[in-house]
Amino acid sequence: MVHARSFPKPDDGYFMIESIHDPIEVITMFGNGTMRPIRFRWKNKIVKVAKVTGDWVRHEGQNKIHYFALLADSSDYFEICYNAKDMTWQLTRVWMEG
Amino acid sequence: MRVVLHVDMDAFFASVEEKLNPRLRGRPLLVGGEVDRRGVVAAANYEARSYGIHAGMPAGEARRLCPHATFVEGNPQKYVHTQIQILDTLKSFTPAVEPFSIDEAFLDLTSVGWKGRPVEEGLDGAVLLDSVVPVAVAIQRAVWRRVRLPATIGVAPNKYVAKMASGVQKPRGLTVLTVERYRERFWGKSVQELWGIGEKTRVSLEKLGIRTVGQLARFPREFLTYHFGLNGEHMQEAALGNDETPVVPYYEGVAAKSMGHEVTLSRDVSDRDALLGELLRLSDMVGRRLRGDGYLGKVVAVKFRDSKFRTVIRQRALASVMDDENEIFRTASGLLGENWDGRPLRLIGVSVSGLVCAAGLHQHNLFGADEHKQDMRKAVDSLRDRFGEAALVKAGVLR
Repeated sequence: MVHARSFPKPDDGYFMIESIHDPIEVITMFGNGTMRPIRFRWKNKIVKVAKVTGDWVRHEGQNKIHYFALLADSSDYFEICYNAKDMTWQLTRVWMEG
Repeated sequence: MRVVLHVDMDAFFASVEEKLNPRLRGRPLLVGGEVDRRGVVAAANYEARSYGIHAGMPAGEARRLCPHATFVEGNPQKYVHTQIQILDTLKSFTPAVEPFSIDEAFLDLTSVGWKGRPVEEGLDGAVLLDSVVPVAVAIQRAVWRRVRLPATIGVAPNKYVAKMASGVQKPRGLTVLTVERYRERFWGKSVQELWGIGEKTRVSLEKLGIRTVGQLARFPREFLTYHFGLNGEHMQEAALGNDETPVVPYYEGVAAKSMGHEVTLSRDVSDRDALLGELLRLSDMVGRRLRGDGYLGKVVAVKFRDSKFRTVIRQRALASVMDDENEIFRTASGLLGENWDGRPLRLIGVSVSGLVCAAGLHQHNLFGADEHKQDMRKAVDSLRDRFGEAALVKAGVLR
């Protein structure tokens, strides 16, 4: 399900989707007490993570949802999250070249 | 003499978004509650500010001033996470760190030693404060290393002047002001340059013939007190650059004065039931916050703003202190009913003030009805603590 509110408009050269809840599959590296997404599959496309630019946590009761801001090899920007309760990943925000 | 620093993160929300998504850099960027132009601008980067956009401006107006600006929906969790990292960094310089807002903090370095700190006796304040510059630069660098965000610092002998100093030069600024330098810099300027003086107060002061900070500083205090009460004294002390307020370290905590929530509605609403549903949701949030932080409150206020940006705030004192969302809602909805003329509203909010610490103050009546309600609230709170806020929602919110 995609709640798409595009801004800037695609004809500005960019396309941003503010709120997505697409399930994704993620290859993750664990080490030094941290987790780091390496690549993920979204709509049958593989996205290779070039850089994790930030991370944060949202609490939902006692459950923690871990968010990651990512730059892909293509230089597209993604925000993804890992829900520790049901061990699932979701894509939550995308910024792509138009 | 005290040594106080005010650390102010530059365009904080916008800077965080730029750091996470570097493709946002170099273009006007607005961060706000909603991307569909109804909310207000929570932060604007410096490119957007050059168009006259500032925090608090309605998003629609910002879009008119800069149609090609990028509008990103804000995310409090991101900013709080970054704030915690920043405070952690500041605490490595002194334990006397007072978080002032999500992007500001005061530091008291009075009892801290640093290389080059002069022996205080026999020296004027300027020498001592100027010697802090390398420490302030080290703080800016440490913050940058930790979170990759720019900070501006004001150094002064008290909190008020430090806050004013950090506003002198931005971004990445560093300004040292003694009280004498503060007076030289600000006394010739409009009173509105002062922190805490807005347009309404400026107009009121102008009626007394006070236009500049210097005029305010020299005005007979009894006249200021006559016209503005205690606030008149505070304003004059601010103009003089006097402030004895201590830096309250984070571990001591600062007592809350009020708690509230407000929301800009996604469209103008004149449907009474829909507004009451929203009011119930906000009352529920306020009650939960009061209980979570251990406060009881006595004064309930409702705020609403119509589509022409006319804002009404009405409040009512209760017979006794409470933390019950149902009582908050009853009072707030009563105030709304008495003061709202049916015009479509774009914003609605609820707050509770007159707060006291809840410890030992809960009243019990003879028939146990209050106790039963308290038990029920405790049960609901513990369910939400465990499963999240959405685990239980009042049915009235869904109307």
